[in-house]
Amino acid sequence: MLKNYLKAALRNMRLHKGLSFITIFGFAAGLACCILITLFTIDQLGFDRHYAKAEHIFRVGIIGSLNNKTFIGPVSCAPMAEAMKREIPEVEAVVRFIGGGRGAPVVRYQDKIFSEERFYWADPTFFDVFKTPFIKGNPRTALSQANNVVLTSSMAKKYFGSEDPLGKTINTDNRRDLVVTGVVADVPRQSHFHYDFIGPLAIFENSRSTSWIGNNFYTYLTLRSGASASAVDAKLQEIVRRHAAPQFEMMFGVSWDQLRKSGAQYRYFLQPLTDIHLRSHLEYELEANGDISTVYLFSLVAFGVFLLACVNFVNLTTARAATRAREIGIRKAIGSGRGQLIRQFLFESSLTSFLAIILALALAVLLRPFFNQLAGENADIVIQGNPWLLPILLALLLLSGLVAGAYPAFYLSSFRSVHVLKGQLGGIKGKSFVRSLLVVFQFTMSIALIIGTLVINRQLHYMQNKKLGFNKEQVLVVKKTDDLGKQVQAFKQELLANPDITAVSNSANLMGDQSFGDNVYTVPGVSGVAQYILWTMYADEGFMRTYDIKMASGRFFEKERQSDLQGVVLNETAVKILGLTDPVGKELTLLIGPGGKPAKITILGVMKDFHYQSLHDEIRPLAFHWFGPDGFGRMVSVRFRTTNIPVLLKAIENTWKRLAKGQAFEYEFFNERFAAIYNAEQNTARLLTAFSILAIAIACLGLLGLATFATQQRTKEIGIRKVLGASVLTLSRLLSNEFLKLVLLANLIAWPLAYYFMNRWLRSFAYRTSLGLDLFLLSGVLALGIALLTVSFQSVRAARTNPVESLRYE
Amino acid sequence: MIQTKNLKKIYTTEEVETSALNQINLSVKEGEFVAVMGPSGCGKSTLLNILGLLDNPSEGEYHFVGHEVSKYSERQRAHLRKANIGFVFQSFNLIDELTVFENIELPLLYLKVGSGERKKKVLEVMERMQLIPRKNHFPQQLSGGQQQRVAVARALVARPKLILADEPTGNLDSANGDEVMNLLSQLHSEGTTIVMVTHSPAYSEFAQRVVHLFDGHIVTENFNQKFHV
Repeated sequence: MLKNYLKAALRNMRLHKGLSFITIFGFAAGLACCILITLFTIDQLGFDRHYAKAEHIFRVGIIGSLNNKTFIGPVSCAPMAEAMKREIPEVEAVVRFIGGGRGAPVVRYQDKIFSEERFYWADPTFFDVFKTPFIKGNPRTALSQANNVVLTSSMAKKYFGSEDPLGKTINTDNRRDLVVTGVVADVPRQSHFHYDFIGPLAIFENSRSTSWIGNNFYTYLTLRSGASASAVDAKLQEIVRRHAAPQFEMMFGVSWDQLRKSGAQYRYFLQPLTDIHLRSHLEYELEANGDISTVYLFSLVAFGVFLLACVNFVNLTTARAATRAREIGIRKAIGSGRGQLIRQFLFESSLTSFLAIILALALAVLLRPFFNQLAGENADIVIQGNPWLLPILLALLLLSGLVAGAYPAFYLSSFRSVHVLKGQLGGIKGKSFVRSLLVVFQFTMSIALIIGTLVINRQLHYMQNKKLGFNKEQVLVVKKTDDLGKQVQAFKQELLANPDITAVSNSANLMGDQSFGDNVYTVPGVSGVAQYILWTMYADEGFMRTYDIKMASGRFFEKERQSDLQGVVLNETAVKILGLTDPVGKELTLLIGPGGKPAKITILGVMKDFHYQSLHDEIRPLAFHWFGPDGFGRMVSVRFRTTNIPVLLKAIENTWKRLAKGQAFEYEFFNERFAAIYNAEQNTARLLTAFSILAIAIACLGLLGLATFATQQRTKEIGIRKVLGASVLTLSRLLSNEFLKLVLLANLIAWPLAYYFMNRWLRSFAYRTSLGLDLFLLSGVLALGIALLTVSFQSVRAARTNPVESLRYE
Repeated sequence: MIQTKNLKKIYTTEEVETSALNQINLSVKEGEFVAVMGPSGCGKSTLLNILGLLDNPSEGEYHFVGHEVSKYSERQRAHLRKANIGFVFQSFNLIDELTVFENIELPLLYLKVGSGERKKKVLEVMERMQLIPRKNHFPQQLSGGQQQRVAVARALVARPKLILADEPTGNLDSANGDEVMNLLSQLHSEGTTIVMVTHSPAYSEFAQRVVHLFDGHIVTENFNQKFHV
């Protein structure tokens, strides 16, 4: 019997080649998208699980809150690790480390010199927590001496080639010699942080600090099996009470309970290691993490596309009912029961899904690079050899065979042979209501996606073009200028001599940076616990000119005034928050000034507010401090006025080479660097654009199929109308109208839906564009146009057929 | 074999009730060949569909090989149908995607006949219908007469007790029509019960008895003289 089904199905496909192709291809496109997204989801959920006992590893974070400014960070204070080990028996091992990112040391071995951003400094217990296979060396002793370093195998290759790295000495920052005592495997991609070097934390004086107030260390711990994380969490608060509270009481002169009552908060919490990648988005993350909401969004889209593809399949299969009806009638008359027919059609839909899945797999392989680009930098899905692939394919096969096959099977098998054998398709026409509903569903989704895409792109455009309060164009940023040391002054002088360069500025931060430092300020004369945390930027006197920032009152730092080192420039928001009127010349207290003691500082001026962070957020209070003549920061911004960029770059590079003693010249354009803060939105926009196109393509394939069948069913009617004098135009209109009505209806449903969701999305931006009616109209017209084009392709052809052809067979 | 009592069929469409069959009392004995005649729309096909268990009557009784089937569910009817009734249609109704062999084989598949026996039976009936050379052809590749021969073969292959033919010659030229009628006649002479709807007075001569329908009623029943000498 199966053989019979198979033959009937294959021959049926061959007979209707075009439509079978549309059905299978549409289905495959949807399935390919599902395959990719499912693999992506599995990849994202699998982060950090390669460490032994990963589910017992936690990171300690801090929530600190003073005067409505809350700081939540993935960091803890220096003495925390030891206190936990000593006072919480559930803690098996604990490690602190610092490093990574922009404060990268320069590593030197013989003539090989590189700046290493993945250099971390850790306690000797690092590999007790992050158990990692050692290729060379002993994990127990590798970090036991204060001049030991462990590196990854790719670093070993980079510096030592084929030599044995063990016992070799590398130098960091021209200051420290370290002996290689271990080589470990490279950190797998699916990790929330990647190290190349683990050096000794002990060389840093502050690692022995007993202060519970500054939180500068990433602290990870392993709990013993069976220990409860929430019990340990409670014990952390007891530790705060025992050790941190007395230090706060000393500092503020108020009791801990009073501090708490005034709204202050200081508590540590545990983050499961395996949650960090997708669910932790704090300041000072080690690397940019993924986002669980992206995973949800992708999964939702996958589900939607799967549904669309299934709907298409159902639509096209039931539309074919007309041509299958006779066969069904015959089979029934001959003796097939309904159950047998249902089985037959389920078999056919499974066969179609099987073919579609094979095609989908090929499509997925083709689209993989594009998808990886869409998914962002920390996703890299692999198809060949992925152990999840087969289960996914089987699940999809089963699911799609059932979901997409069930309705057609039950519907087709319900035909009564008495009717269909007589050529009465009355019953079938009635069911076209369901098909219309499905078309409406498809277009509703497509239109909503188009609107979403337009809104996101408009918001991106808005953000990129909004007046930010500073000028981001025509600025080049030279990186790693701290390598120049005090030579940075000479570097700036030489650049300024170039007529193409109008301003330069050395600074520690730039607008758009992920995180800034912050300091605690108090206003003298205001009693009690009136502490304010302001974000801080450090720069030289040229910053304002370089970025064209306007002053509201007072002045910016001036080179000749050494006393400006005790000055501060605020933004308007900071003035508002501090509650100052007429602030210029007033004094503030910097709670932890130079040398760790409170310091008096004078407000020199107030800058007009400018958007130094993403437009997601309101402008936050900001305090500017001056480097002074001896300070130097990580980058130099160069404002230029030439269009001949290569010449400019050459000139700057020449200056750099003369002063930087062999360090590589690295630069970027500020506007590009700044645009990176909207990477997430740009990714979402790209993703939605891709899926809108896919959705509308699938919907159109479905529409094309339906139109084909509708015209086939009406061949005779078309013939008669033509004989009676109908023109091609009126006929095409007659045939198209039915479908266009559905698309119009879809618009009416999609608009409020899209409005609701996009309004919600826009509200996540403090500064946003408006949801204009034009976007909705544009999407509607677009969908209508595409639908019209699709349908008229069929209807015009049908209308132009010679009526003799269509009336001959009766 | 067949006995109907006051059989009625009413079609209801929106507001109009149409009575297609009214007070039909008909019996067909085993081995009989009955022709049903009448103008278009008189209810011939409706009657045949009910007799063939494709449809249920609205009222009245229908006894088929000893079962009262007028209230049978579709499933019960399907079960009875596939074991006892073979159909021949005016428009042949072969499945285009299946070959001649596969079309004829189909009823046996639904009866779950084992493959060896299936093959034997199909070849047997094909041989008899002189269809062996057409074994692997598709219906579209055959002439009308040949297609109807395949349809008859398919109706016969499961050795049903009753063959229902709905204008089997309606789509054929006279030569092919004669051939099909001869075939039916031969089957009848071998003992098969046949009920045939036809427009053709000439072909009704092949039957033992001719039932005339008009507006849903049986108006006359004539016995064919040549069978009653």
